[in-house]
Amino acid sequence: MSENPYLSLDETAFWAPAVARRDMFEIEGLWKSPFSITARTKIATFGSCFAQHFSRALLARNFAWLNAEPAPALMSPELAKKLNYGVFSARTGNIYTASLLRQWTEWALGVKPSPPICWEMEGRFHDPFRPAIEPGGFGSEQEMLALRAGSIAAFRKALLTCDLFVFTLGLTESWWDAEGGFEYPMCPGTVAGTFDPQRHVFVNQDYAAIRQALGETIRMIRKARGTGPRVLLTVSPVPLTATNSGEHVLVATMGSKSILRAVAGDIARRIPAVSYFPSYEIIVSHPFRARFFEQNLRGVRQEGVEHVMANFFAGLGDGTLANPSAMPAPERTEAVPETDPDDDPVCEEELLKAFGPAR
Amino acid sequence: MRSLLVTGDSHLGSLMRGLRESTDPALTARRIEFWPLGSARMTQGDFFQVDPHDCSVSTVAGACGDRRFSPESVELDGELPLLAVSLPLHSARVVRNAIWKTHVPWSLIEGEHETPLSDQAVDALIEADSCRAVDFVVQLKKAGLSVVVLEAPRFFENATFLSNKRLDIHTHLEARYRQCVIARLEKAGLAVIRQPSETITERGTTDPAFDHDDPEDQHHANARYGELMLAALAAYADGGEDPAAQSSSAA
Repeated sequence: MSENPYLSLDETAFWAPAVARRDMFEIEGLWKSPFSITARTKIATFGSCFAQHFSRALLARNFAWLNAEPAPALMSPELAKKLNYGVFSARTGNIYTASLLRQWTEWALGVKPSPPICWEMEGRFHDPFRPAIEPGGFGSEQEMLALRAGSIAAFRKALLTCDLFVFTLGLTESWWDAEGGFEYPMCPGTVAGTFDPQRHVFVNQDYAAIRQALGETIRMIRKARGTGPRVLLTVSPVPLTATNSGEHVLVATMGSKSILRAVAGDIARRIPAVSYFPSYEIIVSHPFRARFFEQNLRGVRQEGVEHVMANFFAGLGDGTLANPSAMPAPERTEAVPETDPDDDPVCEEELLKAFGPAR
Repeated sequence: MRSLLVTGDSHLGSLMRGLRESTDPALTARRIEFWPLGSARMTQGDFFQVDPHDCSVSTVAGACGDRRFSPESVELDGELPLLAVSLPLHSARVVRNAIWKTHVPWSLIEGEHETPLSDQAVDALIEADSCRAVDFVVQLKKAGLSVVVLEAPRFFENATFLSNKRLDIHTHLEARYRQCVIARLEKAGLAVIRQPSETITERGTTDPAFDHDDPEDQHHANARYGELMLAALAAYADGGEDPAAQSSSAA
């Protein structure tokens, strides 16, 4: 055998030793962070629904997940979850597409105002850009707009102060407003709103459009800050619930995810300090034999999420991070204001004064 | 004159003092008993049990001794007294909480340094804080007792918890808390003896003239306040108009 480039390659470059001869859980070295990510790195997470697993895993390992719109400390975790606090770094709801990320970024950085539109249903008011954010909707249009403004401010804070921006691409299919030129996260008329075929336009975005939107967004964020943040891109392994493309949903899913995967890889190669993390491959690729999917072959099982995150932490070069149970208890990354000294001491004293033996 | 059994949190202190200092025959000639349960903190845990077999409700976490409430156990002079409970309208844990340094009800937002909270979120905080205390009085009523709820006094403007904070936020929360809880109580068929209107300032706080005699105590009201509340309770017990109910529009 003559000298050739393959002779000097690492084992992970070869299918047989890296994949075929291994148990699926021993497939390793899938990703190595090109930049330092430590427990002190302030990490913002946004994107499609799979992105929320990142925040949970980061908190479980006591990493500095940036929560720019935290629930008040008085609120129980159950209630906070119900009101969609702590899912992403701000209450943006799912940001499925690169163009939707660009739209949120433009609002946050003052490039464009968010359209003052609102959907009313049975006396409750829903945000077209976060239709499921407030269960049952808001009490008024003013309330809805005030809460949206708060989330845009929090999103800006996340953009401008994070060290690492993690974005999970979810969809190529999108719905746009023909009159306003803006994008909806979901087709009007599904969760809220009323579908108007003249106004609501379907766009299945191609590689070039997504590449442009994502590239522009990263440049916009970095220009606003002057420096940073580092960016980590992932692709959601969760298949489409439904497609409006005219194709079979399985074909449409593979087509969409392939485009997103290609864009993410290309951006990571061409823009400095951007990395692609292969959560998509870990869940979807055939060596894992669909093991990580629920019975409906769409939802991702907790085991799959844990395996994805174990690979993420393994890629940081600290072996102890793969196992969250070995880590100290999670702490909030946002400064939680101290509770004022409550009235209990003085209440006990008042009762003793009024009813105690020394009265 | 119907007997009164007054139970609940530390706001019973001002009522007891008010009774001691009162010369009003509507109070002095009446049998009035106090069953203090302890600090309102107890309502943040499971502080009572219901025994469906003997129609009784028992407190299990009181600092001043646990109590059993049933038609037989509360009897005074062979009659069922009116049971007045000061507990569900103890708003301090929510109103005085430090979260309002950063989180603000959406309608009061002044800048991006404040995080807006929806009405639904604020109401849910109030519901979570008050649900056990409300359930307690609902269970007392179900046990066959004649129950009325006493409103706790609003906060005083000189309270130190207000330092560097916006008064409008806290008065808004104070009013919202009372509005939400009273609506739930009324839905359950429970009447509320409201804070006497003459003790409430135009800003919706308690008039400092009714502040506790101890300057260190910025939370409880004084004997004058207690006497006014007891008078309102006595009027209600005797079937008269609740003098506070019509005039406390500051709530």
